[in-house]
Amino acid sequence: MFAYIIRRVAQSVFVLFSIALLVFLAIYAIGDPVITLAPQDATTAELEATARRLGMDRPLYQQFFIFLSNAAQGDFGRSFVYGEPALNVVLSRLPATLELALFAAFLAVVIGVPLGMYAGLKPDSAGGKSIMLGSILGFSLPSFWQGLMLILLFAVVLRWLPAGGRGDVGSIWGLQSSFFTFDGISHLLLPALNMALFKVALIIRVARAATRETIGQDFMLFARAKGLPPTRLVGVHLLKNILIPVVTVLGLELGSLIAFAIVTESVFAYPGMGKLLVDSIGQLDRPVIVAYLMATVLMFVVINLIVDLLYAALDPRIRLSGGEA
Amino acid sequence: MHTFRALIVAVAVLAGVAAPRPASADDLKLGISAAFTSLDPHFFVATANIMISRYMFDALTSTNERQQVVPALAESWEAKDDLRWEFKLRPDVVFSDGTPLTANDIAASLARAPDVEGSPSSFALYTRSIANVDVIDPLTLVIETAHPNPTLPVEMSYISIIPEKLRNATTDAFNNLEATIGTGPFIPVNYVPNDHVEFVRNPNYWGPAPEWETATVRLIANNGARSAALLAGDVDVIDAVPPADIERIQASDNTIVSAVSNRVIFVGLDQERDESPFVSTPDGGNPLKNLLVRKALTHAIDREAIAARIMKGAALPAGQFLPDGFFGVSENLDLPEYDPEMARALLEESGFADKVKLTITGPSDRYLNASQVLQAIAQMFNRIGVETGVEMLPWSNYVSRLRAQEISAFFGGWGSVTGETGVSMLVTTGTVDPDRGSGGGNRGRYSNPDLDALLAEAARTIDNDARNDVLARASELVIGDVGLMPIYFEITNWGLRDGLTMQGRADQATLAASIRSQ
Repeated sequence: MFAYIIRRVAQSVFVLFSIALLVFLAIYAIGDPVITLAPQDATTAELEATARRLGMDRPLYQQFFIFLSNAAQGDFGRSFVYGEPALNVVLSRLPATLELALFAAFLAVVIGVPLGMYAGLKPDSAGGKSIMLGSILGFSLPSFWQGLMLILLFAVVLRWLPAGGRGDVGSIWGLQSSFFTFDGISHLLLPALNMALFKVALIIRVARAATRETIGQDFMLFARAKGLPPTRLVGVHLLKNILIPVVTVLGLELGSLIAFAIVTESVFAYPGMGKLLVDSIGQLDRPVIVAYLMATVLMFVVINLIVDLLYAALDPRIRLSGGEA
Repeated sequence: MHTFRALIVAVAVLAGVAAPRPASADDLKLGISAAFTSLDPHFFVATANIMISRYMFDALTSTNERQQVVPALAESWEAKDDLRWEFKLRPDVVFSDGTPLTANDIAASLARAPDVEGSPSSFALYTRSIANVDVIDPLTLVIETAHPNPTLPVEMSYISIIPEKLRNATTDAFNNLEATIGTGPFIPVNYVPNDHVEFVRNPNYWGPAPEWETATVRLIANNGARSAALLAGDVDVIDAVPPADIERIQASDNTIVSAVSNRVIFVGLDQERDESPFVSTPDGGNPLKNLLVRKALTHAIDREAIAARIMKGAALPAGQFLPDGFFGVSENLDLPEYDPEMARALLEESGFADKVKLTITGPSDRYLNASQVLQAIAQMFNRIGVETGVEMLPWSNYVSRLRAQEISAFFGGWGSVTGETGVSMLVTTGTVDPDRGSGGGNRGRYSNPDLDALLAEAARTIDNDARNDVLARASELVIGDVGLMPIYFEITNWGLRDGLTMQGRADQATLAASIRSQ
């Protein structure tokens, strides 16, 4: 298992290197940040001075190697437009993004799993059918439009919830989070719901399929024949067995909730990492783009690792070994 | 099912708690469309950064709603001769930390502004004419320029004044609020990059005290989200109201304030090269070099219709570089008449009727409704027999293409930072000479020695009336040559909660200190 983790880490270092190279080449192909950021009436001398200040006056390969050697020491350079260390710019957004993603994932699970199990246990009932119908809506509504509708309903018409932004941040045992204030949670609710709806639909389908498959299996029949109460049958034995596919999907989707919340973040003016990435690409802020992708790749690697470890915990038949990674 | 029910209850409880959103009379919340990137007032010449600087800092001079220069930290100024300007400081001004303002602070700020480490685009633009700064006494200083510079007073309105002791302060020191010591109406107390800044009123401010105890400026870049924030009462003021939302906002008891901006939106034409990549004729060559063709194109554009129907009133049709009433505008220039018949006749006369194929290139993410406007212009060109297509690119890509001259007709905008037409013409139509900063935005490479001479004359004419006349003549020359085709001036719309008033500004800035309750 230890060898397995080592191997995973080595793979991710290679991925990080290739991503950095790609970003450098891509931005070089798109345009010159010095020109993009400069006013049109800048003189040649002023443009050259800017290029020197940003380190853009060297050939690309030199820029890349300087970046590599600094990055090896944890320094990703300074953001062109914020003037702050790029990694700080990205990481300062991380709490907001994590809160949103975790809240959305939480909503997706607590809504999706019970509904999916219900639809799986009673596929022909009116309830089961309408759940499946509802999940189609969850899949097909564009998140942009759906977000604006949520704002319109809950913020503009009913005025129950704020239309966007991040709420007050509270502090418990030194940990800072907007989960700790009512204002914070009220700001989180709409964007999290907006992101959760699609995932709810997904989890309903996964949970339903897994439920359908599991209830027909021998051990379930045996458990029922043994006279176990239905609550224990469903709440323990069924639930435990459908969790593996749910965890797989959730692991993959959590990554995308964290890294690609761009649409929701812009509609709700939520200061997360996705919004930062879009702005940075527009301004060709290379250090931030690189730092962002590095952080994201790292996150995906860690999440996948946790998912693999969870498998082993959930299903004792799965054993992690260096060989099969 | 229990979990789901519990969730609904939780939502209802939370909503109940969140429902009374106290809009205190002393707090002002603003939703702004453009990203500000730092609190260091000398870090980045970007419109939004300059706007945020104006909350915390003052400059020697300031500009009013119509972009005319007015006194700020300097009570008065005069040109001693062609090269020397004497500024008299307002007495009794103190910084937010209590230290009094002196001429040394001005000198230090002028020295720091063009020289900030890591600046992506520096304020050197506004200090480059300065050769020397002489501190005569604590309240008097003389700025000497390397060459006559009549726009020095307005350029000085861009240089925020910081205390002398912060001459070598880092950008970080400003961003973490250690160095945000200014003479302006507000003091920042919390800054989250790319999200919001919170200000409190500066008790030591020398001017009329702002009505607001606190002001929070939030970045809400998405148009729909910004309108929703105002409608939901999250914010009291928003800028850049999208035209489609104006009615909706007015219908719900909010106020709309409009102002014609100093930004002209234009179409430029490649008129230098013999072969241009996106224009063609059966016989080869570049028809855009022909004045008759350019005249035909400009008379083919129905500017009124574009302003009224596509921009829905968020634009004023333009026939020159700045709207009426600005400095250096010609009274003899009317809107180019919309006359497709005449345009066709001009095209026949040039010999290019039904022969020209053209593609106009524009940025997709920079100007309001740019894509629809360009589509309309292309249709208008098609109507007179110029087969026209449109290509839209993201800004970063577009700028690189412009610079590489991989365009033949292009869509651009220019906001006059000085409020005069001089700099607009120098940048967009002056003969390309990057060493002088001339023609930096002149991607069509229009070049006319007479124009260059007039602009040079204006640049050394300190006398305002005389300069105004020279610039008006220069405007007539460029427009007569169709050096570029102005289409419209952007009109900025602000949405304000009922009970608030403000003056719309030509520089599109939203300043909490000048927003009042009725």
